[in-house]
Amino acid sequence: MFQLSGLSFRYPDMDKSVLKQLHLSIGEGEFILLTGPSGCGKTTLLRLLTYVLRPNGTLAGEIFYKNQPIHLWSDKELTEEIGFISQYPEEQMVMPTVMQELVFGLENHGLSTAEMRKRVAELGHYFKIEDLLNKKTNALSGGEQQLVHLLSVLLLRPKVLILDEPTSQLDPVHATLVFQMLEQLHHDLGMTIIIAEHRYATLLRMCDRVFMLDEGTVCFTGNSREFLYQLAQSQDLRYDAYLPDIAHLYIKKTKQPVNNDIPLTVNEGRVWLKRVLPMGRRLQKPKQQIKQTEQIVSLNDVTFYHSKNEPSILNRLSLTVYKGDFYAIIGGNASGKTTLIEICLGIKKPKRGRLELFQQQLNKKTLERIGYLPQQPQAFFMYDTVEKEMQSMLNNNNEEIMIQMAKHFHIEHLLHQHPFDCSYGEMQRIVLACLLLRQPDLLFLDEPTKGLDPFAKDELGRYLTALHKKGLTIVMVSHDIDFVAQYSERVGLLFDGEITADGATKTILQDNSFYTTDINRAARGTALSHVLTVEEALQAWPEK
Amino acid sequence: MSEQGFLSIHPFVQLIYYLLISVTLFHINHPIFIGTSFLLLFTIVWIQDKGETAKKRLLHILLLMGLIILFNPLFVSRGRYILFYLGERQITLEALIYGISLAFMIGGMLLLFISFQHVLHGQRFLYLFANLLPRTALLIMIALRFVPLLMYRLETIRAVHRVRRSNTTPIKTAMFQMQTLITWSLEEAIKTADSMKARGYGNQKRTMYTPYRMEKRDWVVIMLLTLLFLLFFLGSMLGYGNIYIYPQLGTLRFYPLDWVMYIIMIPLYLMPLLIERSTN
Amino acid sequence: MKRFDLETLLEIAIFAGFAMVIDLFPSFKPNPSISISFAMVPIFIIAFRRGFLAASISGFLWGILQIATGDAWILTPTQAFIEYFIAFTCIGFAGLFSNLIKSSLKDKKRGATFVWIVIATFIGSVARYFWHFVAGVIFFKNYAIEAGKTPVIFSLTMNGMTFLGASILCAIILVLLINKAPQLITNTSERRQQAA
Ligand SMILES: Nc1ncnc2c1ncn2[C@@H]1O[C@H](COP(=O)(O)OP(=O)(O)OP(=O)(O)O)[C@@H](O)[C@H]1O
Ligand SMILES: Nc1ncnc2c1ncn2[C@@H]1O[C@H](COP(=O)(O)OP(=O)(O)OP(=O)(O)O)[C@@H](O)[C@H]1O
Ligand SMILES: [Mg+2]
Ligand SMILES: [Mg+2]
Repeated sequence: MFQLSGLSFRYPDMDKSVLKQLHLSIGEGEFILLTGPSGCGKTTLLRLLTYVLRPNGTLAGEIFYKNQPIHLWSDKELTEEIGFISQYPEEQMVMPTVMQELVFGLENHGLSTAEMRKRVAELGHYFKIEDLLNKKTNALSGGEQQLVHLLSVLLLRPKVLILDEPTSQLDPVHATLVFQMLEQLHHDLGMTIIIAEHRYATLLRMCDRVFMLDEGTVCFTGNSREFLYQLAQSQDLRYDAYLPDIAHLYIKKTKQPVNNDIPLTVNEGRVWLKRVLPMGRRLQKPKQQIKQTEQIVSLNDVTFYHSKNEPSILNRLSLTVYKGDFYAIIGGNASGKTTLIEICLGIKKPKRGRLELFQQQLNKKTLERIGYLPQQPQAFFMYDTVEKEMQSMLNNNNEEIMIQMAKHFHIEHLLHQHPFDCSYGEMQRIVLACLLLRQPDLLFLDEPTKGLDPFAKDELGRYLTALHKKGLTIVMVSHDIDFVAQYSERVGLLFDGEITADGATKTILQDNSFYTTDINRAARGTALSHVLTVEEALQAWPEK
Repeated sequence: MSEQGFLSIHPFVQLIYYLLISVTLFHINHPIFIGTSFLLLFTIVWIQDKGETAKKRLLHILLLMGLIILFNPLFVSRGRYILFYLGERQITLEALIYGISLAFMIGGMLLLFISFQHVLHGQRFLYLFANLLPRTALLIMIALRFVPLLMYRLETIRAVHRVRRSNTTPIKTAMFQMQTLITWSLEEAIKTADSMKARGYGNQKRTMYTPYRMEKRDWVVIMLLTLLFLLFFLGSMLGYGNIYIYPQLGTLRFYPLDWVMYIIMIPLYLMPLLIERSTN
Repeated sequence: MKRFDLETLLEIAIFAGFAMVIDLFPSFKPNPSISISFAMVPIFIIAFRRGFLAASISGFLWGILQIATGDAWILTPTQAFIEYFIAFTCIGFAGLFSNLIKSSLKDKKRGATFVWIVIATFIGSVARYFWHFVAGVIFFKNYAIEAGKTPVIFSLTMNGMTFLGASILCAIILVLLINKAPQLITNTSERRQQAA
């Protein structure tokens, strides 16, 4: 399908090339996984492959599509054959309602109304989105937007599907659904699929080849097992973070790992663990008392709806966060997590019920003690360089601290760039760095790991833990169960407008089927059935 | 579509209804006819949006009507029957009647447009509009999405800014917020353009998805409307439903054919409510 | 509209939507027919950014949007046509000054920039409110009052006051905004090139 020969690319205002001399070829019907650190050029590469969306800049080398230089194809042919799913679903919406959005591409391709109806009915049924069709696109939750965007492209029935982090905002259930569908498209229809992902554990089972980019070149490539093996063999410790948990555990615990034996799926992991570990009893769930200190956030019987004739989004919800908590809110797409945070900040007003922050009504003083990372980091930016953004957050013109913070979040090379020119993960880190410069007492994070690569995620987690140890209270919304399991102390599950389960992370996450980690799922029935993360597993590993 | 009754019929039929009614309004001036149309339209508006806009705008409308009834005789002194003199000016019965009939006509028009906007807005309006100017209609749809989106964003930006900068003046803060919103939206224009291109916008002539289909019911309604309208129109051409006002007030008497017209008028105007009844 | 690239078309739509949003804010309303708001600001921004034609389309969209969302105040078809189709489109006249404003911005002549902004705002507002004035006159003339200068005077005072209030407010906001963020007018792609 695609052939790149010596492809290099440089953005106009950068002194370094983003892509350097790439040589690779992708066959028809292949399922390709692309990964690599945030800012390594995945999005840039994918956009070059679509060609219609190629970014401005200097391009060297050639791209061939079906053995013809890609620039010889017309835009019409390319858009009919190649579907592109972007990293920013909220910016891909064009029309006011979901139905109009879904058929937008079909209208461009000149299909008849009957044909459009048929296609929408078929796919809509698969994803059970009938309820969404008449909704306004701007009233969708982050995950719903991502789903709608995905569908709007799938409806076009492209031959090649290029996906840029399509599940970053989906809950585990929906993410699984999307991956399953990709597998089906690949198997049954022979669609060529190229997908960039940071959370790729599930994808390894289905993809034919993996490419890992770093610094603009391919650093590892091969089929899934070869790729994992190379990662494991590499001396660079950064790459450890890229190993999926089960594979990571396997490599740590096997003296001489052989590339063919690396477990890829939960199932293979379970087989391996059953073999090497003694049987375990079902442990009594540890009762962990929540330490009740000073109340920082307290919501009492809060009810919220957008209009009276729609069902309530939050329904008599009560929640207390204590000083020093690291509280994670999990729950399905559209369950109202973002709404909950927006209520805490006064962006949305509760229809009934009471809200107190720092044991006071919401006011200017309390807001000053809060840091807030919105689900869309763009809301934060007001200057034309990252440096100015950071300077404005300084309390006492102490640039030293700023530089340190920038170094810490690996954004020092971006200081002179326009914030909107940064990659998604970079934006996320810039906002975090800015927030922390203010030294808030309370931090609200809406999907902080969205768009972060595994390494940056680990660093963020460690950094948050350190701050948390120093007394920072953190309230976080996340779909990334691994992250939640590893770093948060307390978890609340939001369902049906209420916090239906609330307690210590361990207690809540164990024994779920979706809302738990791969390790936990694989280790069921063994002596490690209580562990959630690799570190815990390593610690609890029974020594012979 | 979950809408029922008049809202669920084809927009084209709805448009026909409003066009026909606005024509009839211009072609009657008998106070009883025009007064009745006002009442009928008022009923429709009231039932359609459960009195919400009607309540808000009714006061305006009544005020305007009152003004017209008051001012017409004050400024116009044509007519035979002189009621009284106000200083130099003669106040005539004709001018008063004309004012009343005019007031009800304008009032009726206003109500009709309230109902029009209630029924034919958003997607339905744009569907009709798109038949005229497809490219503009698409732009409007795109703009329409931005209205709630920008509001929501402004709220988010405000919250984020409340948290991030507390030490500037309100005006400066407002400027910052505007600036962020505009910059963000402009960046977004680039990305939305990409999204449209990626899905094949501009490569060939677009078709348009139409959620509306002309069904048998719609044709029946069109026939009924046209039939009633033609009868009514014929009557008004023959002078029924109308009175002579200037130069001298004619008779207000109802002839048999006036009665026929009056009876035709009622189902013509109340078509939306009749449809509502018959579909429930 | 073929003359515009997609990005410009989207900007046109965005700014029309933006004007709608500002219109929904509480504004200064001493009486029902006078409402002084700064809703025209977005149309002026696109006028300065992209010139006459883009701004006219944007204004045109704004007018239709008001009808489409049921926000319009329609009395008669003629009045609706004049007030919602023609008047809003005419704000675009401010775009005639686009090049002057941009070039004085480029030369860093602050004073000149602001003078041009004020003049452009003024012209755009005059063009718009002239039509509101006409609509008012026609409305009163046709229906209510047959003779005399009353309709002219009435319409003139109503629209004149709104015009003055709105244009002064817009001019102040535009000057403040563009002083702070001139990049809103010099367009995005130019910004990218400057940085290079
Ligand atoms: N329009 C642009 N102008 C200048 N530099 C850009 C532009 N877009 C991206 N970059 C830079 O190019 C590099 C690669 O960006 P890209 O978006 O391809 O990264 P990515 O691998 O997709 O990252 P992420 O995982 O965070 O999405 C980044 O360092 C980014 O700052
Ligand atoms: N402005 C709005 N008007 C109407 N409904 C809205 C609006 N904003 C959000 N909603 C609805 O409220 C529900 C909750 O949205 P919210 O953004 O809080 O979900 P979420 O839990 O954050 O989901 P996600 O994980 O997908 O981001 C969704 O069903 C969404 O469609
Ligand atoms: Mg990317
Ligand atoms: Mg959310």
